[in-house]
Amino acid sequence: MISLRHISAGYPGREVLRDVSFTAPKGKVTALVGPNGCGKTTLLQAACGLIRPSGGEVLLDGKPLGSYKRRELARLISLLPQTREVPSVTVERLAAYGRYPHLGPGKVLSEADRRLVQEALRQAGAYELRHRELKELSGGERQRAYIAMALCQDSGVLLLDEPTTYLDIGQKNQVMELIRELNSRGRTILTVLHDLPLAFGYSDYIAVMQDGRLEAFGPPDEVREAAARVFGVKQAVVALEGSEQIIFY
Amino acid sequence: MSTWGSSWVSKGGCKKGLPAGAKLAVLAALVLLCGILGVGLGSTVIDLPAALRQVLAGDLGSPGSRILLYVRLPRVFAAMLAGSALSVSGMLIQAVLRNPLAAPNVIGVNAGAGFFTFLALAILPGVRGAAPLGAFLGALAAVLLVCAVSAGTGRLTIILSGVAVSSIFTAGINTVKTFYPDTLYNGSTFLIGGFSGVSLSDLSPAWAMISGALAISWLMSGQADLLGLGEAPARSLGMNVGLARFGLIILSCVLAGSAVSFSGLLSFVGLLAPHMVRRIFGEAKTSHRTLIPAAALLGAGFVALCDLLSRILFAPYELPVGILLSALGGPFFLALLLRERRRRL
Repeated sequence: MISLRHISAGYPGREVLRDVSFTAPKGKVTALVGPNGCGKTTLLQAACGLIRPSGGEVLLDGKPLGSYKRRELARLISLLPQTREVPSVTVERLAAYGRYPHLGPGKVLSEADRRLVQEALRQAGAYELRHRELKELSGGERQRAYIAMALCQDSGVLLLDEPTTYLDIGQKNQVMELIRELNSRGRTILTVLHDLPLAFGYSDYIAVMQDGRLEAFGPPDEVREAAARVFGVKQAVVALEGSEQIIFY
Repeated sequence: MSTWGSSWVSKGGCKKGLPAGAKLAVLAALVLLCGILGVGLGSTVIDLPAALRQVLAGDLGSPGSRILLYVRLPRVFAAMLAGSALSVSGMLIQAVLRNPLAAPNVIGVNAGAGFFTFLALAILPGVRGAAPLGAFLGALAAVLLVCAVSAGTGRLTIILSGVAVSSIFTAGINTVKTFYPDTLYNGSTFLIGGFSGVSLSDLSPAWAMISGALAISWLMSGQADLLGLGEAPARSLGMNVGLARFGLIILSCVLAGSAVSFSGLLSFVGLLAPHMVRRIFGEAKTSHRTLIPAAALLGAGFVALCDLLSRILFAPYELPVGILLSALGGPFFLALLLRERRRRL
């Protein structure tokens, strides 16, 4: 469970988040939505300790983030960043980097580590790509490779910054199904999503942000009006194949 | 065993060519061959087995045994030591800056070492050990200055700080040259680089520092790998990115500073050898745990070979090895730039 309490954060000379408070409940999928530049990425970075809030505190399972050691924290929270380098590595090596916080001083993978890497590659749909260089891959394939790396961290909390970027509609749905599957195994997930139908279709809770502030937080049904308002669009609930779906237009 | 090597994570798969261990063994054999050729060949022909037996027996009566002990062995040892140190130094700095065209001179090593060497030649002329100590301290001072200015910032600031610090120290070199013209003779030998007249005592304590720094570099190969991911992903994996960068830069500086203290400024080894190693081993599938020892071996063999060529090509005259390295390294560097340009087009 990650709790943000009155978080203000940003970069030198520019405050991005202002007094944001909410809790991403344990074992649930929480989506962060909001217009570009509203502070979603900054919030994820503050939630995993990459940037230090100028005010407020982040609690992980009731303890302040600062009370965890760097590598201990990396075993508990993994982050899929929004902008990623394209280093000269194979997909398999990249995924194996995710085991870094679990390795001893010699940084040598054990048999169990290797099995976990293979499993993560399969889960992320990147197993067939494992011997390919990252530079040779399409954006969507790279995305799957980075998801495999995040899975290798084997943490209880997954922070995903736009995990469906670069993916076509079929792949987007696959990634969201993967997120639900990981969630069903007990993982807490906090994810930034630009695609509103995906966010409202797959998440247990939605945090709606605008201009660095939290506009609304709650189950999809309760915050759909707030989401439509911040994006300047309309919303409706429609019956589709026997179930109710929230659409934005 | 390589950490995070693809052929290691999953056994089988797409292995091509020799495994990394076999390639390392071939490199080690080539280094040994270069070493044997280096001590066996030169402007004077010696009976190597006989001279070696005499040296081992403590009999230094023959010219061959004296040439072997006092000239050839120190020289080959110095060439290998400098080659491995400069090569690994380049490998580390390229990993830290994530720039394949980086070399120790980028962080101010050459300019700092040069300025303090010229200063030592001007202030303490004829004092044995002053110039090598100056070279090492100068390299260290320049790099510490770069680190102090760029602390807590990104790699671009490190590069820009290196450019500024190098410019300041280069101005210092030219000032010393202007006011102390006598420094030009010994100073130019330092600037070109070479192993002529090197003795075993010149290599101390540089050999110990290089050995220690090579061992620590190898232990930090995991951090060198992870730096390639970029700052945010590396930090989210629990790595102290600032400390890792600082540690690797200091190691790079100790390696290069120790090497130039007895070899002078040897150009292009730090650029050339790491690139050759990456091409031989395949950068994408090889961890720094393998690349670092490979760079040490290739650098050692390459400089020892160039030194041998510099001695025998125009024998009995000798070409400073720095000239030969630049003559080979310059075209390689240009080819690299052209290849990068073609890749971007």
